[in-house]
Amino acid sequence: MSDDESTSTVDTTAVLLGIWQQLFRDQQVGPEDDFFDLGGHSLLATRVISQVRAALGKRVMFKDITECRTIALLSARIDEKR
Amino acid sequence: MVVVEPYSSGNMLAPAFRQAGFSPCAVTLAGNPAPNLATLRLSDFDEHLTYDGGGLGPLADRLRALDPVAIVPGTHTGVTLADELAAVLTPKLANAPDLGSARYHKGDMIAAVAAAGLPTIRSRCTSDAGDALSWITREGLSGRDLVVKPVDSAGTDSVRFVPGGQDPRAVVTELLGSANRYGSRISEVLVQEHVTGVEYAVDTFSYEGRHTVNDIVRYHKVSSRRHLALYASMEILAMDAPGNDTIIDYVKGALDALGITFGAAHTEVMVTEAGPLLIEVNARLSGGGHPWTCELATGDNSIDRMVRYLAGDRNISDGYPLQLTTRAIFFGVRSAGVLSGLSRLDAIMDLPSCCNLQVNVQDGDYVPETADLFDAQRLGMAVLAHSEPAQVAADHREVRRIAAGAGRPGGFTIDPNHGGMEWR
Repeated sequence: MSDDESTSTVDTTAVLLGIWQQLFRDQQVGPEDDFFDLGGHSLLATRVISQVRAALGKRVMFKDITECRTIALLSARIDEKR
Repeated sequence: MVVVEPYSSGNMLAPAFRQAGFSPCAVTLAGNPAPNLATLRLSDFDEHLTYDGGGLGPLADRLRALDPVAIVPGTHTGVTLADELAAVLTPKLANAPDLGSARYHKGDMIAAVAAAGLPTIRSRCTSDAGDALSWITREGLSGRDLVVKPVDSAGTDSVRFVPGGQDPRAVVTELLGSANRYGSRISEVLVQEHVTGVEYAVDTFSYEGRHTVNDIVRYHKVSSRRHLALYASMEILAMDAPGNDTIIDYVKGALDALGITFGAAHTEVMVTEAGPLLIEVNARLSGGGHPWTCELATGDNSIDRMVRYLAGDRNISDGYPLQLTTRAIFFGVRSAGVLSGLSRLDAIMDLPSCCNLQVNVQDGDYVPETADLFDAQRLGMAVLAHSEPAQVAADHREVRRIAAGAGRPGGFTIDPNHGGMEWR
């Protein structure tokens, strides 16, 4: 799938939940949990960028993750993108 | 886990160690005016000790009580102290103690690499302008372009280009009387023949004497009036790109020559017609948040390799796959003065491959003419990454166009390609 190709049938929240559960394996992760409170840091944020691109074909910027620190917020931000 | 001088990319170590279950401890040098002080995040650490430069004993005793797993440098100024502490407290994870000077002092470094049989740039370490001139004459370098730099600088700090025909003694004398970015007086310089070619850097993580390659980077540098080269941009290359095997072999040889058996290193080489020649080995992470860019391009980085190794993982790849074409574009200004029009840079975020735009200054700030990597990092950078190389190339041109109208007269990048010359 090329970058930025739309995949509107995919549930963005579910994809993000899967990515976060992989990143924070020892913790229970929910849509309202704060990425950085869970122990997230800039290198992990990079993995979110890469994995969202691979799973959804959507571009996420580092700024999106620092501004939208929960799955719920980031999911809404991603769905806003073309 | 002990991080000595956790500045620059070194500030990314503690969160990664903590996530793996290690308790991070910071050691900083007392009174050290680090040029990247703003990157220090002591709240990431469980302990913070300072070292006043006296005997190592009291600090080693305090650290011994913490039973450290490993001791690593965060940035340039932490290399020697981390080396010395590791030799005492974690000897199985220490680099060869007898080569400590060669890992920091550029004159000793060149000598050690040459002694291992690798080709090096002709160099003279000196603290005397007359001695420099005598050496230049003896070597038949009179009238040739030269480079003069402090033996212990970082980030292209105080690296001077001396054009052929110009008396190098004035530059040597000027540097010997000045202070480096860390406030230390420069007491020795390295005088070198100026070699031309393409500059590459290889980031590695070593364990048990085995060197794994995290990325190979090609720099695009431009010259300024006084300084040899300013970082304009860099791209992470595919590991199997033509010529990289020669570079990798050379770099691994240099790491062996310097007794590096554990930890991250960032090795810069100039690839000339005669092959690779060492610029320097930095026995630490690449600065400026580079592990972040490496992770984006390859899906891995030196920090995570180190964390995995310390957690018991021995399944660490020797190399890397290039997943995304990735370039970092460093910002810079051609003249000192007050900044304006920075909001125009926001358009960079709309480019399809933009993954990060970092602007660390604002309208109204006074900035110096960009002279080295520290100045550039104070301004910020843009990171482009995409599966299609052509998209990155197109967006790079757009970054130049957008930045041309921001910041200062002449723009906010020092990339010179407005005339159509493609990035190399």
